[in-house]
Amino acid sequence: MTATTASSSADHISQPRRDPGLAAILRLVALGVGLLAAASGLAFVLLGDVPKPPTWQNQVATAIWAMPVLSILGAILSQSYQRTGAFLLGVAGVIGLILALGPAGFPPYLASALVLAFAAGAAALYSIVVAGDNILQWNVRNGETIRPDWLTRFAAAKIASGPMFLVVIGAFIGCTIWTITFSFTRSAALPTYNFIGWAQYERLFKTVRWTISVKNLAVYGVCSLFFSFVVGFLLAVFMDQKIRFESVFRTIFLYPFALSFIVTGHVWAWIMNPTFGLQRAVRDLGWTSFTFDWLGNRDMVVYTLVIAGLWQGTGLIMALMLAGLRGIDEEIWRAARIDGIPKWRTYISIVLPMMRPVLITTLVIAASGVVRIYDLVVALTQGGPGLFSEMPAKYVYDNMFQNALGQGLAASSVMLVTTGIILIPWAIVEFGGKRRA
Amino acid sequence: MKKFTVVAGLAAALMLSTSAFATDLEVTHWWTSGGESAAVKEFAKAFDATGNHWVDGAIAGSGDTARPIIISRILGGNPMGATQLNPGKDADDLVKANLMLDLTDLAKKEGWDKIINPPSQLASCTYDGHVYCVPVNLHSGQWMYINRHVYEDAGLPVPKDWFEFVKSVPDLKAKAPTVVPLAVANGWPVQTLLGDIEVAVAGTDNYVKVYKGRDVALASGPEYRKVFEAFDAARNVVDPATMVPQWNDASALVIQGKAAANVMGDWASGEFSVANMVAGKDFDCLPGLGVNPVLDTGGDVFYFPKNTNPDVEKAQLVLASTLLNKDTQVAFNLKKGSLPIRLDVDISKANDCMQKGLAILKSGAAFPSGSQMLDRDSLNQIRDLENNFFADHNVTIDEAQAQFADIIKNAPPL
Repeated sequence: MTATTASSSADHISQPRRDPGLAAILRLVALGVGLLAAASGLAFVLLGDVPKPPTWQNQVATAIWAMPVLSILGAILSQSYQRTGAFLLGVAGVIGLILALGPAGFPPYLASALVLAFAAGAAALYSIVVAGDNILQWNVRNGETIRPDWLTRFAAAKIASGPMFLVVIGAFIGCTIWTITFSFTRSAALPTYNFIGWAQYERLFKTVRWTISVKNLAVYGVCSLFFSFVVGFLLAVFMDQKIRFESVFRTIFLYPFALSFIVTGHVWAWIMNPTFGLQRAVRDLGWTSFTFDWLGNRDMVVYTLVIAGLWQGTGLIMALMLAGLRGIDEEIWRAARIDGIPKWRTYISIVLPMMRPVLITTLVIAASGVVRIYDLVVALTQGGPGLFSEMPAKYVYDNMFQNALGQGLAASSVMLVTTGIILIPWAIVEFGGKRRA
Repeated sequence: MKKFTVVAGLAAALMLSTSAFATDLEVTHWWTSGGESAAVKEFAKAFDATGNHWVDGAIAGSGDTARPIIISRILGGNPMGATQLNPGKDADDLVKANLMLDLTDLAKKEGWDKIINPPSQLASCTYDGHVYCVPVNLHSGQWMYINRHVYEDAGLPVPKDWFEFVKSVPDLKAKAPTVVPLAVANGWPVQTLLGDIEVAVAGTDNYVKVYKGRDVALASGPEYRKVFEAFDAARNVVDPATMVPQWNDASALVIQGKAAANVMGDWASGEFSVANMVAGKDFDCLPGLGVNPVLDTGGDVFYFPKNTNPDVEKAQLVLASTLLNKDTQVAFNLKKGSLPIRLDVDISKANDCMQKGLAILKSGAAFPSGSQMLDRDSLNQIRDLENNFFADHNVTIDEAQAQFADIIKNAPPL
């Protein structure tokens, strides 16, 4: 009974009436597209097969993304319209998803799992929006409100995050297990079940290219993390001095981050090319003995990656640090000034420790960028000269799709375990301590 | 309700009508240099003339970049209409997994076994008696290009083979210090260079015994040690600072007289003819590096990944037939600088080096290319080994040879 009262009262609460024309158009558009999706879904069911134009991949991709967006839109609109509107759009979304998954070639069980997850999500959205957190009144027993137990607390929120959990379990945990399993097989181009024990790992650790890759990653990681943090922090402090044209400088420093690693790599390949780039330019200016041939120098080639990576990524670090600096209360600065603490001392001893959460976020972002470095290598050095700028992610990719799937999976498993060895103790220290406190 | 029916009908009609244009065929390949893309356009033109439409899916970079992209797309259930690959073992697993279109009926109908020469090319497209790919051209990698003017200007005799060239390097350095003795590009051209030296030093018999016969004793024996000694000599000739990014940059250095020699496949001869260089007068092209006049029979083939749409399959078969068509073969190969896959076509317009190559192939002094004998994984390991050996002078001859023998030993059976 309470449920009906709650939801019908929700319907009675009149929405603020602003711009009814736009809302009506939006509703119509949403309904129209939803109906169209439902109709194509019906056509799919009735005809058994959807005709696929040659570029159907794009349409399928669009559908996969458009349908959830559509249903969310419908659910939001249902606030001011009718429950039926939301329901209809939810159904349209589900049918649209079936339509999208069918031609995409997903196996039926995966498709049905995704459809179920999606239906749950749509239902949850619907219930949150229309009925609030009182769905099904799980906290009412025998007409009395009881303290919700762990299962029924925030029931709607749990239902709503259900699809996300399914994705996490399927995509992250499931795929990780798959990867590790097949790293013990002789899989060449396709995954096969002929298990060969640790052979792939033995080969991996005997391979010169892998050893070089790991060494290179260590050098690259240490250098780029150190310099991007120092330079990024200094730039952020510089920006924080209430300088003129701050937004201009911020844009300039952040701009390289808008470029992909591929573009960055190609640009720096030209700059660092001894015949055409910087070396030639400086020599033409008159300094004829100037040499900058790191791209072809096997000891220095890793540092060309560091330079290009820093150029691209320092702006982001700066932006994140600046956000952290801006989050420091002005009162703290005032207090430090009254106590006569010099500015640099305030930064290092007070502000920096207060920025700990920002620093950790930045570190995680920057470190994950280091571990997965691939495209920069491909664009800048192609791993050369010889194997002197190879990186683990490139080893994984090159093996995975060139008839050595098992080897690639073994390498990626090793990368995962290594990352875990570093991350898990840190996470225990970081989060475990708080719980005890 | 009425509205709903109308909309449903419209939607259905919309989806059905698009199927009428379903003969677009996406073709992926990695032919992106000037001559190569001109050659691909000949294929596209011929295919468009059949009423279908060639959607070009060029992937910039070498096969090393393109192959993983192509294979991951096919494995990921997002197959293209057709794709370039190298003959041999690249696609074996995909064929085994039933992901490639069977062309046997078309091959029988058009009598491919009679027109395709050498027959080894069709054989490496055949799996369990079924044909799965179309060879489109023949390439050989064993060529050394020497700029004669460089030697003549320095007052030195022009070397006639690889060994004479290595011996001439100290003199050349003394007489013409600004000239780069051997122009080499980074990446796979290093493997081309060392692979060619390998064939020249070991001889084709031993080469085939090791790669196809998996003769580990031979690979780790004294005869193959000579190969690695020759590799060592080669890496001492090349100054890493003079290495260039692309194979055609290396050819350009030889053409301009800034470098004395370059080892590259027959596709480089196109660069020389474009620059109006005359073979025998301005430059020499030496098959088999001048040591043994033998050539491998590499090349390019097209595979047709299976699609669920019957219209696409029809178009795939049309394309397969078009690629082998006499006119297409001539137009394509003249632009590409490669040899046609059939002998019954007129290529008198081809340059001198290509004619030389054709004569060798006709005489039968051809041997299979690496990718026809060994799987891609092992080839890549050999590539890594050779690249590392070439760049890192700390790696000794014995270490490299031991690693090489290990790769041969662990290579999966044919």
